[in-house]
Amino acid sequence: MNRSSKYKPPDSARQAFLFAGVYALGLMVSPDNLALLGRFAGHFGVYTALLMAGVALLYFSYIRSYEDLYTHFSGPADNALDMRAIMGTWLAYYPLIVRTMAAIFITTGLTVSSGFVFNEVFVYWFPNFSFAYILLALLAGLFFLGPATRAKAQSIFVGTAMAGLALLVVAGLFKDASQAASPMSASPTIALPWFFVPLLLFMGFDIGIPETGVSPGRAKASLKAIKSAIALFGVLMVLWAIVSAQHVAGEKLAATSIAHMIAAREILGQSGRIIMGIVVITGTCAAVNALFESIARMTEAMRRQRMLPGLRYVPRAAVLGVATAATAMMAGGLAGDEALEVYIRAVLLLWLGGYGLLQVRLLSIPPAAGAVIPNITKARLLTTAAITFGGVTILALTNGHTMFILKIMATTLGLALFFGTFGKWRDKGGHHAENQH
Amino acid sequence: MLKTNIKRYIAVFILAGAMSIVAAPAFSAGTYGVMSKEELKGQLGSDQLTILDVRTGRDWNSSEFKIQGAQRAASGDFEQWSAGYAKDKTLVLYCA
Repeated sequence: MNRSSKYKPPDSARQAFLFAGVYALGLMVSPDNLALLGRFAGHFGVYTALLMAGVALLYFSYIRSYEDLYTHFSGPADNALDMRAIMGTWLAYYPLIVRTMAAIFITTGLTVSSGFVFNEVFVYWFPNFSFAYILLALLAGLFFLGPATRAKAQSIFVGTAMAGLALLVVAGLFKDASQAASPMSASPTIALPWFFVPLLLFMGFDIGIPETGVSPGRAKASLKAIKSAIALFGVLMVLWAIVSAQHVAGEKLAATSIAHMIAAREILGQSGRIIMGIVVITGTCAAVNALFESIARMTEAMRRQRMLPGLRYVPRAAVLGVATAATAMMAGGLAGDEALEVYIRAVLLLWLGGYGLLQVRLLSIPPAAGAVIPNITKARLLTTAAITFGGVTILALTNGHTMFILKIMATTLGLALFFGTFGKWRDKGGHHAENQH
Repeated sequence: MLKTNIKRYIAVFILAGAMSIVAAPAFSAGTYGVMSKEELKGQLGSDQLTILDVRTGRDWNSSEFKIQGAQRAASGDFEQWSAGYAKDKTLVLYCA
């Protein structure tokens, strides 16, 4: 068994497909997403399906952009996704910084939430924070068991979470609905930000994209897997949203922070709580494991591309650093602070903004020497970028903590530019990834 | 060597968890009275009682258990909002 934490590419197309799919779903099946979806369903009722379908199309456009990247940069496999080529030299460190921050804050939040669920659903006398620490330690320990074990574990986490949700959906569909799944009647209008909230529900799909060590053909197979994962997740989420709205009043769903637990309780009573408890904990494991994997693969890719120190233990150190930071945040009481939610929202918006930056970047790269970007591609890229940046702007400005979010975003951009400047200075006269095709 | 390090690492976390179980009672109310859940249950619905949920962040967002009728209050701003309650009423602040 391979116990090295060094990234090892999948051995077969089937493995690549599975690998990409389960990691792409990692963040999507997180309990935070379920809570957000529940509130969203409380506002939109049956129209949730329409908006989710629209957002899924947007994400298919992001995936298409990654496919175009592989076409543009079809050089040696190791350079298939050089960050300097994708984001430009100035923002080459942007994805890593954003992902690292996301890993720290989201891990902190999710493990604490799992602790509460374990305490309130399963073992009431077991302290919730103790469970959170233990869970984090176990997930960090899982990382050191090697990529194959991590991938198998990820399959179990994602599979269990989705199976649990599917079970609740089926139970909900067969049970007589106590509510009509219609738009909320408590207020005649729905606040504008809620139209853009679904943009956050499919985030993290790019964790499934291999950064290095695979051929462009294998990478495209991975992207197909991710599209399938988004479609499957989208259908399940829409069904869950409809079932939730059928069994819980829209006003209650829209106002609560635990819409998923309330809906599960209404559908199957105590059994529903237990099933949802399992979904929450395995969803947390899936999200955190995916984030750790993402950090490891990205640092490994950047290490090989000489954007990070060439020491072999850099990926392991990075993941250990993230786990330690999350532990420190829990110990420091950040989980009980409203600021954590603001940090999480800020990093998600930065991550989403990264998808938009990719569209803009592709507009500036000619597909081949002397060729021009087809108009239809330009239109797709421009529309995708506009919706993405529009969503980021609205969600940032209507958050209630706008200045705080803008400060975090500005600091992150500043950090990325600082490291990008350093990288550009170091590369001057040496290897220029942007010119490689 | 790596296996030993992993075992040590996991042991540290489990120890931290165990310490939190032991230390938790030490952080219970000091200068204010503590009401048991049986006492509180007996007084639920009384006009003389106001229950305040002082949990914030994930402590509140993630919890399914919220006492019906409880109002949310920020424990850090006690001096500000406590003045708005009649002095002959009982205020019960709960966080877990």
